[in-house]
Amino acid sequence: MKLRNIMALGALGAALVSPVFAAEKRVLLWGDTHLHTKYSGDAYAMRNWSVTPDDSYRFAKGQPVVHPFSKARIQLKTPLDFLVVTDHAEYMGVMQMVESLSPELQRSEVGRLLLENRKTGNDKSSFFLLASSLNKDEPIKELLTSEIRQPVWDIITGAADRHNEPGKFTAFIGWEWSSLPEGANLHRIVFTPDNAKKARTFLPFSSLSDNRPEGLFNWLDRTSAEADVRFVAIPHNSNISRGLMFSDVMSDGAPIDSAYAAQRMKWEPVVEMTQVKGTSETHPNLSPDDPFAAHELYEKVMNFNDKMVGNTGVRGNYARDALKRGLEIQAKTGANPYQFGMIGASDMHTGLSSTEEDNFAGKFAIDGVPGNKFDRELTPNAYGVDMSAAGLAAVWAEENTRTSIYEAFRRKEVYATTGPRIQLRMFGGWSFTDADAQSATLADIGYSKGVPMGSDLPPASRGGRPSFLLHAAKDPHSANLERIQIIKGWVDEAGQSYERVYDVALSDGRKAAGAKLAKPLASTVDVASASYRNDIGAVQLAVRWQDPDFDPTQAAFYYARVIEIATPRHSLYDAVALQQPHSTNHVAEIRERAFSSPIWYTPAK
Amino acid sequence: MTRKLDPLIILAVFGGLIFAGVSWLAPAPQPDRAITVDRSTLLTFIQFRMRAFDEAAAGEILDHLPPDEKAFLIDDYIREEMLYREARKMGFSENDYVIRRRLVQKVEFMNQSLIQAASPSDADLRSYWAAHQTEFKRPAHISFVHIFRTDEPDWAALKTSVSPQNMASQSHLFPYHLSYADRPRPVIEGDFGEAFAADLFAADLPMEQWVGPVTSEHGQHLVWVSARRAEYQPTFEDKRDEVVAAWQAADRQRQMNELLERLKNYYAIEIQLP
Repeated sequence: MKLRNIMALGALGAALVSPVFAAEKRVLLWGDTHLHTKYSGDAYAMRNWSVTPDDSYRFAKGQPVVHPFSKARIQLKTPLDFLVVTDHAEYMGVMQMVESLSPELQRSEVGRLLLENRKTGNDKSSFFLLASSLNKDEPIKELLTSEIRQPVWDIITGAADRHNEPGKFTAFIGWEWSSLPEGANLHRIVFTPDNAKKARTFLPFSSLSDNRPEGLFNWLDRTSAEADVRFVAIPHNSNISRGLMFSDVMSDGAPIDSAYAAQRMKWEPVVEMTQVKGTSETHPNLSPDDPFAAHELYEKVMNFNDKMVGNTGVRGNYARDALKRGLEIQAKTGANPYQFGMIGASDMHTGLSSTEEDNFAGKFAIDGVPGNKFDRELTPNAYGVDMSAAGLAAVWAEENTRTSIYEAFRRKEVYATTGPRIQLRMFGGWSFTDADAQSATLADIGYSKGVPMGSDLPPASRGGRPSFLLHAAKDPHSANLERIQIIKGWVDEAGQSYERVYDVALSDGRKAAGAKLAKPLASTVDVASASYRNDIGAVQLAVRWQDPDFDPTQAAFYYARVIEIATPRHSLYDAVALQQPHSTNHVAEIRERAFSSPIWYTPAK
Repeated sequence: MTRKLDPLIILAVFGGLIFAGVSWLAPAPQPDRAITVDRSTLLTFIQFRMRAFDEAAAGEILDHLPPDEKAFLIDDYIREEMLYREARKMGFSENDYVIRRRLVQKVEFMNQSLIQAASPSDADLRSYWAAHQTEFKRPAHISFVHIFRTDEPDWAALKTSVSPQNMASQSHLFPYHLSYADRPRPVIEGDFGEAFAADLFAADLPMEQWVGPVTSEHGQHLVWVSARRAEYQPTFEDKRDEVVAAWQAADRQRQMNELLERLKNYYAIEIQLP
């Protein structure tokens, strides 16, 4: 069958043997690359006193565990395939000394203050104290010794090795570098596919050593060479970065140059763009023509010194705008610092990766029960009801092992969802036909006639226009799909960037009509009972789409967005449980979605 | 070329500015117990809290605050002012390392706006360029597709029958990409290894045709290179504006260092170490 397909594609002589295709080996794996346990100081201070990395891996594998605050049993409906436990490198181990009332703490003024807070039940002010030292970039030296940090790092790395079962479940070693200058969130996850033995040759690099991204990249350059360790860094929450995450300048204020772009792309192939603190795809200010732009926006900047308003909807805060800015910078300097793929991850601090709206365990432990979501301040001005039950990382990998998943991240064959396991394939090429989208071997055709998400298109054939092969299937445990869209960004000769959203596949017999986007399907959500009818939308959508506006002289990117029909938001389940009206400051229903990594077109020079 | 700065004048200016800064922080102690809240106080307060110094924007916010939030803002300001005065009365501003660092930082900031960089001559710029031109270098870039094989196929047959658009149909599973469009050399080195990158960037590698097999860290590849940009050393003329900015930044730093050296003469510094 496969050989016949190849013959049908033509261009092959009989002398050629049939190669082994990627499609048959790349399977879809689901995971979370960003999760905090009690070993993160903020998680502990907000009442996660019990969930260790061991518990986090057990929960991810589908076993029941005890919620750190409610003490109720909680379990995932569908286990994950991989998990990275990523506790904060900053002040790692400090709260464990507080927990054990370590006499070491008596030796410094700040240590005595933390102990005092513990006695008065006020760990939250310890959290705000430590976090505000990140805002001010004033490390509290007494709390940063390797005697404090090493034991916890040993526990974290040991748990990952113990739970890693090649072929079955992948447990990675990782941490979070949590740079927060003046409240600008520049946080990065760092993970390695290597083992605990190698990971124990260093301590996780912290923003208290250097809070500039260039400092992190330099450390990664050095450490990967000296310790022979592989790393991937993943930035997150650009939405609260005050415009700095995807800036057009470097930390010293100079314009981004090609050396910076190459170093950044070496370490940061992928961006985490949807998670518990909102979705950073785009903002209505930046994408006024996109009716789906305002999904789970979150702009509560983390400044622990002053209660400060954020910079809403500005450039530098959103992934789509960054992909466009990358093309602008490429036009100017010849190098693109923002040629990244996209994933979701949870960033939950309960140790429980819980991205189902009806089974959400809270951002911190303390907001894990419905009644605590409105009056317990979590970070400045932010409450449990503001959080999102999101997101997940989807990975197309050869097998469920550390190295395979790492390679998928490097080649950006990964995508983001806001929680549901929407299956999504996307290929770009020059010769796809409408019939290809209806074939049972769509993936074979995609890999053999084109390139998958995260890739560069091969060089254009003369007069050709790129086409894309897309297939989306609903999560069996979640709602039906209402459409697939392509988001295109491009630059003109003057280096100015543009974006456009296309409907490419619609459910319920609706037809895509050129530039005009179809209205969202009417909601079936019943607010009184927090339920919905799954009798509209499609189980799967597949299509071949060709860019009608292609200009071979303009660099461009294309990514897919798949949208579910409306379903209840986690806060609606809470409102019904509490028998209270839903908060008027929040939406009661959402349209969950998946975002592919882009495919880029670069004109021949 | 360089204007000489009298350290005492600089000090006087700094002193004045610091005094102005401090007196803003503690406005008019006379009469001692008066706290005045007017529009300009609130505008300044809002701007400090926002960490964005835009008086028009602050005015906009103030004018549109609902009455309860305005009352809250005023109360917030009064509390801060009272606690600040109490803290000063109790002498908390003395021997506080954070405040000390902050004052030093302020002087450094003022200095940045105070010290004027000189205007460099053409010769200055050219000698700066000569010493720093490698910092402006752009890495080599390449566009290519490849067929990756882990077996020993009939390479010659592949070369004659496969188009570069169709390379994926004959490729084995490759951990990274089959197509690279205008990507810098470090990316190619990371995905294939340095030896493979050296082969692809070799000056005599033919373009627009299948070449190989070429060996990488993963196996063997047929390679079709469609474009290359050599490592590029921009000319002085290309980068003149950036060189001027870089030269002036270095010049300001040099003046600051000179000033600090001369301040060392002003202070009677005594190092008492064994």
